[in-house]
Amino acid sequence: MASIDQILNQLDRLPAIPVAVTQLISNLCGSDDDPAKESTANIVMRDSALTASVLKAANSAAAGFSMPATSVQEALQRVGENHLLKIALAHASQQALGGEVVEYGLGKGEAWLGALAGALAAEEISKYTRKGDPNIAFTAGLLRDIGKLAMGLVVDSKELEALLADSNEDITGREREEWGFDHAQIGAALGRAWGLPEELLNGIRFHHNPPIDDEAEDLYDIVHCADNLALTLGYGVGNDGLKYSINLESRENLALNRAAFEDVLVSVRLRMNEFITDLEG
Amino acid sequence: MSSTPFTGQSGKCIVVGVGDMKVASVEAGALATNALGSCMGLTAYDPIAKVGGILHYMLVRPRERESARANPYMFALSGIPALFRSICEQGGQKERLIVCAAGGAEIMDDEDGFSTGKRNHSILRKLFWENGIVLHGEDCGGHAARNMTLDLTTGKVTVTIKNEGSQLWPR
Repeated sequence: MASIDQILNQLDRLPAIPVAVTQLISNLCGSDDDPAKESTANIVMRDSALTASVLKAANSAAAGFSMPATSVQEALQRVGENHLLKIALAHASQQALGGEVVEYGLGKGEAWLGALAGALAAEEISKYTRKGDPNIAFTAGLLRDIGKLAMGLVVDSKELEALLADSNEDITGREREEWGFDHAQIGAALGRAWGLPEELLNGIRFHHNPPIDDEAEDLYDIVHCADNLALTLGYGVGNDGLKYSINLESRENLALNRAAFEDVLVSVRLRMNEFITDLEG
Repeated sequence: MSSTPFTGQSGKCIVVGVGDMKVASVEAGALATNALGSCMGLTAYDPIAKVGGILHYMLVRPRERESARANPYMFALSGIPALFRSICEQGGQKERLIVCAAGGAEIMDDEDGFSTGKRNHSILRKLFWENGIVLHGEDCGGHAARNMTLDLTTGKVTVTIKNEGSQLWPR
């Protein structure tokens, strides 16, 4: 039986990712002393749409400056490199995630809203529980569902639509029963084809089924709980609905109780507004 | 979930976001709220004054009072009174209101966990029972995401799951 990577390699085309996204991920999640690392300002300035979105964020009412920033360097000084990287990454990922995902019943922009909610939730959970790296959590949360972009290319899209519509069981379990793999595994394979780092690939692979293992990374529990939170809020929910099982051990591992979950839920909702305002101007 | 804007008879529609509320009269056409997961959508409509609203709340109550002041529509305990008050301020009468609810879905196996959807639904029933308010239609629970619309001309309330609509009111 062919591996998932082999199945993807046999396709005529794969969903694409802008070069800027992988460069921004490298700057957000990589080591600070990487000699090959390009400056965030340079990555942003090469793309006029990215430059515009970053300037809008720096000049938004929330930033609180009376005089507008007119250059990327000025914007960097105002909002800080970490926040600017996330704004830029969220904007740049719209190109890959902003379209319709017909098989999952997601209209234009809905998959991206789900991605953004998952990114913010993962970052907030990481900060709240003081576990994992918030930047890696943000990125893994953002990309966790990229497998949905490729599922319709890998399997018969009508059969996938029917499975999502008719199933009253856990969707990833049904996908595995039907085809031998689920959209999270396809997502990890797609991420590998995009050249994403292994840590992110595992965050994507395990976002519905984190391994029950003392040695497993906190990141897997964080992204799993972030996915639950995005579904609870209704962002990125399509014909699959909320038909995903929760691993209650992930909450225990993170010591994420109901009060903490609800605090994070409110924070994510408020930050969704801030991000969308930043991006739309 | 695909959210083709519902426009009612007039061709116009105001979309109510997550944790938000909108109240309007017949001139606005229709109100809609999309992708209700564990959140609840609540419509209230006065068929005589032709004014109505949708509340899309996320949780039962805030942990801090300040949070309800800043974001009252995120929470049932502050948002539901605000919906009724706002409709009455715009000419509606509480006794005439047609009230419908949808949402409160749950992630699988979370019924014994945080139960956000179940809690959101339960608080609505409790508040209405305590205040003698009749729920005219509801579609709550399960694992599906829902869209909800209120036609401000006719008062018709529709809930859509996977692009299939069902009418909550009139029955």
